Amino acid sequence: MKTGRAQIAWRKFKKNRASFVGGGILVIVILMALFAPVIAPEGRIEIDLTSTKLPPGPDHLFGTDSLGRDVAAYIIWGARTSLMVAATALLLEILLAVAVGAIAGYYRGIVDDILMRITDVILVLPTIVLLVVIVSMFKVRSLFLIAAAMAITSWPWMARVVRSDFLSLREQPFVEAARSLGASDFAIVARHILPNALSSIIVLGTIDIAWFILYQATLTFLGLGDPVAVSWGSLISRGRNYLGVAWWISTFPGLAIFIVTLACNLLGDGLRDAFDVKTRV
Amino acid sequence: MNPETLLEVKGLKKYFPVRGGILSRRVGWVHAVDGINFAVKSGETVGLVGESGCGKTSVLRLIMRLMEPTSGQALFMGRDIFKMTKKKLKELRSQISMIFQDPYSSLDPRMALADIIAEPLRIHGLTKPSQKMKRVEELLEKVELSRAYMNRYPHEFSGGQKQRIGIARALAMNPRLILADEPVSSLDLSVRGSILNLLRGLQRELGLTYLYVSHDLSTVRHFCHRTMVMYLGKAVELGPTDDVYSEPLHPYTKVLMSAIPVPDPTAKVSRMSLKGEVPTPINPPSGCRFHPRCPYVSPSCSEKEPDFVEVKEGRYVACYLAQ
Amino acid sequence: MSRQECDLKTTHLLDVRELKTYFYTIEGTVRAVDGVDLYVDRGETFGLVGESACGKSTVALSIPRLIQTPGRIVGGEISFDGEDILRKSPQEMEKIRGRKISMVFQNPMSSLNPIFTIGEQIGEAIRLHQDIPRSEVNDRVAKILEKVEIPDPRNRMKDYPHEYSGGMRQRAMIAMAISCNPLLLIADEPTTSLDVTIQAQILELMKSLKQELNTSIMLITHDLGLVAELCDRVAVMYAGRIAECSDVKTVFKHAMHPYTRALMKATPTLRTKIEEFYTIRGFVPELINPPQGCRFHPRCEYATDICAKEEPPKAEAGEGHTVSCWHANEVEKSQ
Repeated sequence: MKTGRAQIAWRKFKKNRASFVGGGILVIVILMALFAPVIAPEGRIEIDLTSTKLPPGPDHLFGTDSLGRDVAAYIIWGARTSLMVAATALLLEILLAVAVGAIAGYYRGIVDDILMRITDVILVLPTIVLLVVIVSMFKVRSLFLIAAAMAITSWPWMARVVRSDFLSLREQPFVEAARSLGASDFAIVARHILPNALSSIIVLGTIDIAWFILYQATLTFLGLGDPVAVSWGSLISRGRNYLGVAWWISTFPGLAIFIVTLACNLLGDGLRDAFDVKTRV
Repeated sequence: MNPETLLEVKGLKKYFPVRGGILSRRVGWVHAVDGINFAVKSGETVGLVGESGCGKTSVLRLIMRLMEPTSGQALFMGRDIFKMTKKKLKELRSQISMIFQDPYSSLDPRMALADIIAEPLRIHGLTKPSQKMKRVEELLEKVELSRAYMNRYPHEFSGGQKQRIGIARALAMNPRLILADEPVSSLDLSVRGSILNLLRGLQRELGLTYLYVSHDLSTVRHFCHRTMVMYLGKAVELGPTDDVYSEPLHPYTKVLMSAIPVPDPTAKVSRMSLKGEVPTPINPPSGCRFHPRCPYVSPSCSEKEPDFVEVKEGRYVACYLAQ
Repeated sequence: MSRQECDLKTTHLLDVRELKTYFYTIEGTVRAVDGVDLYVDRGETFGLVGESACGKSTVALSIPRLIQTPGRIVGGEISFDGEDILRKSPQEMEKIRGRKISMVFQNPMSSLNPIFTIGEQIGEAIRLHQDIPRSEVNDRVAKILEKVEIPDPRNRMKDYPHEYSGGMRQRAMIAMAISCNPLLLIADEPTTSLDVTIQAQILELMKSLKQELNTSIMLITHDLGLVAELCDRVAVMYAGRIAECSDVKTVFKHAMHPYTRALMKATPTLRTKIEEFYTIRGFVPELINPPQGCRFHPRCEYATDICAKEEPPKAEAGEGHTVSCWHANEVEKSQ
């Protein structure tokens, strides 16, 4: 029986039904987004004023919105947007957080103090408010701007986790051993400490994706998103006025956000348990 | 014939600041190492023994320059380690290497065996894969591990095997001196012997010199040519192991020897009682550090510290009684 | 009276028969204790020796039923003070622990609650099991601290664990363990984390307590010196089973199990100088997949075919001396 750490983590993960389901849902969503052109040909999200506000039926699974666009197709294309923005934000966040957390945790001292005060400042401010402020400072809003703004407001949390991992890892005997062999600081961080801090980053990253999807939808809902892009938030926003008449316009994208967010959280929880050396099933 | 002195430590001191209060001001010092003098000859094994807080592990870390000393010198082949530049220091790390106590945490859990052993080769410039592989195979053979293990990870090995990996890594750059920090303390009794025999064999084969730190007096007795006993940051006795064990000169050494449980139910055990706890190195007692607990204490012991002097050929003690 | 209760009739204070404690983990079932028999009489000190992962700590935790998931006692019988331990309810076990059976663990820092003073913790142990008015408890605590040779007990009992040194904390743990005059004290590696001179002090303390209190002691350790100085009888454990059990002199001088012999040879003494360290080839097996037949056979110099196929039964080798080895007689004959 293979008992590598990855294998043990995989087996523990499989036993956690909820997180397995969460992971499965995410995979489906990703596939959906990838194959959007095939599943929901572009035609279906074009404006068609002849079929506005149609209720869910055999032709339009989730109905159509106020401009005649097929809600189901819109959701599929919206998944693309959401995932792309979330992934970009995650990448930026990881780069920032690891840089700051690693330097603070490895060198400690004054550098650590300064960096931690900076993270404290950002942590104290409520994320949504900060996001709104940042995004509204720009006249032209692109998806990239939103991704960057989200990365800027959320890196402190991950930086803290990375820092605490670094603080404990740098005291490990195998790090001291590397130093005694003559390894440079950079080599120690890159080859020894970072790979061992990976699991925390993965877990946090998964949960952050949920937040990014949520925030992006919120921003678009508030009218602060990219006006052109296909987005769940904009659909919800547009359906606000028709809640009594055409409930499906807002409800289905809302449901989509809910499901994906839930899936990410379940996955993240399961990954955390799977990587935790102390839990044995 | 005078064997070459490989390492000479003079007046080595390391004080750690104790911080207190809101502003983290220094309120005192931990006298971890408080003036140590000794020399190690090429090809010999010197044991450093003592209880917790005596400073033996700090001495190793200072020699390795993993910490900076408060004062003192450590001369390796005549050159002061503490005055070396970064470049020279890196070179030094190929001449002196360390074996650590805990085999479980001294190997990076995410690295395969071959990479762990090859790391020092890579750091010191031996980058050609074929050369590296050859050397790794050589080293595995020296520590009696099969080549088939090259791609396995630390958690797949037993404690004794992990320690062999650590030894192979320490040997990679053909060092002159190996600092061993309790290398067998975490291993099972049945396995210790094989590691110690391996180390002995390697010493004969490669002309290695060992500085061996341990709290296990029974192992040191059989493994080290000379033994130095430390107490509260100071060296209290140094001499050939046989002599130190059969004829201890310092009262602390005598107490230490009698404290070890005797694995023979028929033997008569006459134990020297030792009162009190091991004091902290923060505020060491005045005069001779051991005087509050010494069964032979006399008034002069609390006034001035006795010097660490050679009382007989090769035997050093820091005690008025013995001098 | 059912047959089962009659089977447990025994004159020993503690009688363990065919104890099996398994751990159900993701990698498989760890047979930590796989059929262990032992007994401890009143007033005697019993040593359970073995290397790491041999199951001795699991035996120590099984007796007061402190095993938690994923571990479980899956078989055997434990009789203590005439009663069937395995049949007791959790509430009944709570009354036994600390009162009739108490334990001393290896690491005193993690067994003592850092937010209560030593006096409060010992006091709690006393009040849990004995009906003593509050005013008297402090007197009791001071008396016990005196007994374990903690200087200035009336003041020191107001200290917190972190204000005590390692040796003193271990004394405090011993004080807690003896506070209710238990019938059996189980000490699991009580001196392993202590310095040599402190260990010697605790060793001498345990010797004098042994004389004074007539408590039975079960000492779990890998240190043969400790066993030789403290124990009346010894059992040697290997890979979840008892290899040999007898009085201390026999085990040290006339052992009949190859593993016992090897352990003795591998233990260095201060007296005679040895040239080559004795080593037992191979390594301690994992208890998920222990070797077939006799568990020690892959490392044993006396091993033959039968050792690899069948487990040796427990055999009587003399008065109170049991060995589990197919070649015990051969071992006995060779010096």
